[in-house]
Amino acid sequence: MTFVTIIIGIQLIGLIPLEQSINENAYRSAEQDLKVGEGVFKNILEQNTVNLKQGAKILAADYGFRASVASNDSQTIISALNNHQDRIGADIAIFYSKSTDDTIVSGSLSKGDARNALNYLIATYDGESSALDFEIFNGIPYQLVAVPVKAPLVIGWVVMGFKIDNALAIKLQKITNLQVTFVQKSARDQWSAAGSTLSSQQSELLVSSYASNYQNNKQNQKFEIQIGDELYDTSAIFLHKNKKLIVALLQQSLTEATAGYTSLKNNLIVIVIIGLIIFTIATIWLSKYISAPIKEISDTAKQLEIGNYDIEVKTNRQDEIGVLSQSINSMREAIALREKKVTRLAFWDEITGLKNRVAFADEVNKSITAHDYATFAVVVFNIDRFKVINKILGRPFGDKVLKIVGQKLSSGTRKSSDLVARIGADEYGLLLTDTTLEDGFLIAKNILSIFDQPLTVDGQKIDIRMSVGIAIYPEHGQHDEALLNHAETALQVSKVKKSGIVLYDANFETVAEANLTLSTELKKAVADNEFLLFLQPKVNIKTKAVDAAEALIRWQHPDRGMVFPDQFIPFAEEVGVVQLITHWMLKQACKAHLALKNRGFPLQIAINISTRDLIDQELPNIIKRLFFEYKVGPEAISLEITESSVMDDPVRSEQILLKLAEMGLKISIDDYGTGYSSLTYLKKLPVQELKIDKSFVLKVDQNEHDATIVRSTIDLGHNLNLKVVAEGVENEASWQMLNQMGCDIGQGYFMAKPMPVDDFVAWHSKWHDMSRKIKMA
Amino acid sequence: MIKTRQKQQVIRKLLLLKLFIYSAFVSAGDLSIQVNDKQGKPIKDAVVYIDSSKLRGVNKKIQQDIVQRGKQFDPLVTAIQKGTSINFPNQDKVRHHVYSFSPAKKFELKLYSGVPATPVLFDQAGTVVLGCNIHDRMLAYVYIVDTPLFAKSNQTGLATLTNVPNGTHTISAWHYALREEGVLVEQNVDLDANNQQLTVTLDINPSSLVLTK
Repeated sequence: MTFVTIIIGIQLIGLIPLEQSINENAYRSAEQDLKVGEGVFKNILEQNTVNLKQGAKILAADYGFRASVASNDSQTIISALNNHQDRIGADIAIFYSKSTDDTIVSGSLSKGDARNALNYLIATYDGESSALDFEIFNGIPYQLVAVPVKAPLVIGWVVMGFKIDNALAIKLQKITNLQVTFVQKSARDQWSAAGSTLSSQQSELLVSSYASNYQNNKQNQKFEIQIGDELYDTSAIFLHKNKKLIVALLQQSLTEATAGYTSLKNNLIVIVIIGLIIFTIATIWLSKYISAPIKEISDTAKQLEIGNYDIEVKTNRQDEIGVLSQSINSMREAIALREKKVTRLAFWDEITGLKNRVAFADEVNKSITAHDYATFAVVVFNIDRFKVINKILGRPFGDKVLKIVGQKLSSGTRKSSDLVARIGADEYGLLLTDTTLEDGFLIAKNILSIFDQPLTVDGQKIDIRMSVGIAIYPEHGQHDEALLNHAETALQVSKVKKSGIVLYDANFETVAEANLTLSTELKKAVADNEFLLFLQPKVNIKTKAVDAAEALIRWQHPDRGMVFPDQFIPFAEEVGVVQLITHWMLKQACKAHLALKNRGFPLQIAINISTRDLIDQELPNIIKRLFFEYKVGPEAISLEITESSVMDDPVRSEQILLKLAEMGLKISIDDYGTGYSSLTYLKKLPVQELKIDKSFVLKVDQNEHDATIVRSTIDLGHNLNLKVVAEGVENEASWQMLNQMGCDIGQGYFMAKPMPVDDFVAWHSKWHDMSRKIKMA
Repeated sequence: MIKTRQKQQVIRKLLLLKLFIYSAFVSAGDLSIQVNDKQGKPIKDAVVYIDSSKLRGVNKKIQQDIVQRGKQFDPLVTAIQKGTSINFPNQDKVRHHVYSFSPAKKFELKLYSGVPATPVLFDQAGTVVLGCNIHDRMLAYVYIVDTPLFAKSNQTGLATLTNVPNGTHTISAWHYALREEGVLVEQNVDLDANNQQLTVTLDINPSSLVLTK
């Protein structure tokens, strides 16, 4: 619409010069008319004069008239005068005889007036054929012509005169097309109209205007006079040569002159208005047809910019605009779809269909800021040993486990505002809104009980154990990050202590801090040789002979005293110090072997190998170098591995184990029965020995169930050509039972606690005595 | 009126002439009169004469011509003694209608060519203005005196009166362009053997002068 306004403005501005030019034209044309009319008017007056003169001359030249003048025949002179006056239609006729000094008048005129006019005419006679004058007689102006009567010298004068009146004005108007008004000044200085083509009212106005404004002008002049509604271009012509008593006012109506142009202007305005209407309609159509859709597209694009994908550009047009609209639409849909996906990726977990960590943190934050819950609980669940599931049963299976765990967790929530999210690889977050510490703990416990039953995944039953950490708002954190971190800290504690549900405690932080210092202390301990090698004998149950021992590490901490491995080994594994410890152990084992061999006890010392060691390609070389260094062979040490240690990277672990086996090293599976007890691995790996976890052995003499497991495991081992070691033998009953079951080797407090290397010889003599007392089955 | 004035003048002159009558006849001679205007320029076509009752009736010339030639009268001014007839031969190819409304002699010669049958007799002293009814511009003056002693000034303004007797005379002068129209200029002169010259000054209206070829 701005455009239309501008166009209207331009048109209106355009009308101004048009108007000006029209006025100018009209005025010029009026002026031209007036000029021409003036010329014509003068011509006609002259013609009039010529006519008058002719008439007068004819009389003056008439021989008979002259004869009567010469003979002073006044009667004849008067009749001749009348005759000529009638002949030319003059209003007055005068004769003056020079010889008699007498004046003869024809017409309503006094002799005195006639004489005055004559005197003036004769005085102004320039020797040509006539003299011209305008005089006012009895308030009526006359045009006078005087002609001398010659015989052949001047003997008298003939004067003819015409009235200047309406008739003359009308006659002049007919020819000039101008308004003609004669104004005269009376003896009393009063101006009046002698004759006019205007109405009497108009002429009065004209006279008064002329009298008040222009009568003092010295020359013929042009001016504009407003009479009523009409404006006249006016030309004043002094008829009287010397006396400015009679003036002809010729007028061209400017109003009339502009009338033609006014209709032209009106036509133009109509054309402009019609043009504008057409233009406006065209503009509206154009804006509707082009601008509006483009604006709609632009608006849609803006909406897209702010993330609103719901607005569709409606069109069924086939032209470029239609194509553009469709493109925008398809772009909109594609962007919406992609954003949905991106958003899903950003806030949703693809595997479980649960919200992810970011979304979870966001919800936690909302619980504080938006929902303003007085208290709520953040619970973190972690699937124990999930890596193992993934490794053994495959990633697709693991994903299904994750999904089902997620579903189970969700089923344990109470209300819609509670939220379950996958916040880590094997970690779930549970937001329990508006929940107190006690309720949170209870709910977590209930959920955990769901997993007492094994899950069925792809028809396969799988046992899932969980570690759980809880943090409560506001006691354990004022914002999402703190709450999550604290719940996870509690979770770690739960994991380490295997204590199920752990509520966050500020003291955990000091533990964490302690862990930090532990890392540096461990490295220092390796360097400063703060570790001690302890041995626990592995006793042949049948022969009671001691051929091997398991090497166990103790840390002689300068401040804390003796530290047991379960307090630092998991941590050492975590921070990567465990390899240093393993290497130290291997070295010490070699030394110990040599030392005891020298004293007559060539024990094979078993070293625990961690997950990290098993993926270390250098491990075989390190052992080779030690053998070379201490001039020992594979009889000096054996290796104990756990099932789970192989799971992290089974391919590489297997390669390394094969290398070690090739070197003649004996490899044992440690803690058998706690993990997956996979027969595949037993079959696949170069293993010679199976160590039953002590949890089965400790009460084997009392618990039938445990006894069954131990017995079948022993049978399994033997069937696979493996030696079977029972750990945790604490009494003779167990010893006897194991002996009956055919277990090959025993290890436990019944025989010996772990002891320093130097104590072994003393123990051995003690064991020798003691073993004799054991009844042989 | 003019007549009355002339009569009075004539009477006065007669009284004067009585005193010198004898001496006048002692001897006679030519009188040269130089006619000038006020600026001293010579004036032609002026008529000078001495009105003497003794000499009246002696008409030296009985007939004279005023020719119409080139739509003009020739001469412009003709001075004659009373009783002289004038012929108006028309030498133009066009016709003329010569007329006079002057009281001294009113006449008209209607449209004629060649020489009119009868000459016009001027039997009264005075001025006669001649015109042509056909040609308004044509103009001629006939000055008629009642004395044989008259002359018309030539191009140099000189007019010579012959056979003027010695003695005291009143010289009258007339010119058609006098400022005071129709008023004679009169001047007394003592004429003897030693004084035969006279200068007459006329007040001439130059604009009234007719230019002739």
